[in-house]
Amino acid sequence: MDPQLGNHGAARPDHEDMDLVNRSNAGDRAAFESIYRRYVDRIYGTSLRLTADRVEAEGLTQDTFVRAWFSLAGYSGQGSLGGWLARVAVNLWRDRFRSDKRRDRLQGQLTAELAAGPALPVDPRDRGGVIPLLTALDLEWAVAQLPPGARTVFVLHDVEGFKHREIGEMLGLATGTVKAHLHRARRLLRGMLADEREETHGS
Amino acid sequence: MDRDLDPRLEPLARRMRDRGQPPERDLWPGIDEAIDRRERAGDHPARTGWWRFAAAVAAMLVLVLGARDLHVPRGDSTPGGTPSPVVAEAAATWALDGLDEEAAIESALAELNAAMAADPDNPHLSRLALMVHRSRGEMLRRSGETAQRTG
Repeated sequence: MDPQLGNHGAARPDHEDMDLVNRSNAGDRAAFESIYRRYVDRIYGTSLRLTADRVEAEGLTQDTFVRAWFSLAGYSGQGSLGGWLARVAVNLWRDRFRSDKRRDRLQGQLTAELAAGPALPVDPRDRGGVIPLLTALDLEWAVAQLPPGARTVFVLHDVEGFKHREIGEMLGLATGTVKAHLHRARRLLRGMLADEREETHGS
Repeated sequence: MDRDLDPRLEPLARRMRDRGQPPERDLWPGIDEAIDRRERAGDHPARTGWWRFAAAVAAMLVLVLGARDLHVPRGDSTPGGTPSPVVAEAAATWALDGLDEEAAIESALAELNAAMAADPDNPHLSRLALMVHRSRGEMLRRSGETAQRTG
């Protein structure tokens, strides 16, 4: 897979993006600020899903745009600019993740989660009533409730579009284990969705 | 997206990714400052991705034409002063393929002009442009001589 494209289709750069990229490559910092304004929500969202920590997500977002300023010439115009920036963010997260204790901690959580089975970590009804799991916002909330391992694998695969093999390399897991975690994450999310439907149609 | 994902979740996952989430504060001032700090420390953006290509095209051209005795010093054909093996090999292939010299020169000039517009202070580009212009003059002179002989 071209990481700039993800699994969600071959997004193409628009003309305005390319104009901003060209101007940034010529040293125009204001043009680069416009790129930031366009994509900060996407990059912060990705960062927050990966780190599950607001302060860490802000740091990762900031570092992503700093890295992008220095390496924007590497964006060839193949695929969307947002996809390219997200790839920069994921690469930075992976590099940090490789070098600190979080990797060991997450691997421990991954092992424990698989052993624990499919039970929902949080009853969606604890949120305060019926959960209309029908919007991206609700899915965002549901994903945030997933156990860390399941959430990480789901975000990398189903949201960001990385392949099982790539995720396995990032997390130090066998491809089969990644698939097992993904299957579990989806099952947990489906459970939340089923609960919501039951609430909606049963009342 | 494989089929294990509930079809209702797939578009939501895509929307979730594209919509993102706004941070609680503006991160731009910190980014701007971090860029300034790094640039003051000597880091500079790698703006060379495509001008390197343009330079390689020009360098190949100069090598090819230089090999045809156009009085272009071979050692001056790349920014570093010595043609890289890759460029030299490409140049040889190009020569063997009998590339149209005029089209190649015009193409190289167009690439270089675009590169120089984006990076006007780059001395390597200026130098290459000068060499390509020189090669173009030589090519035109030679074409004129050939036309006189055959005419």
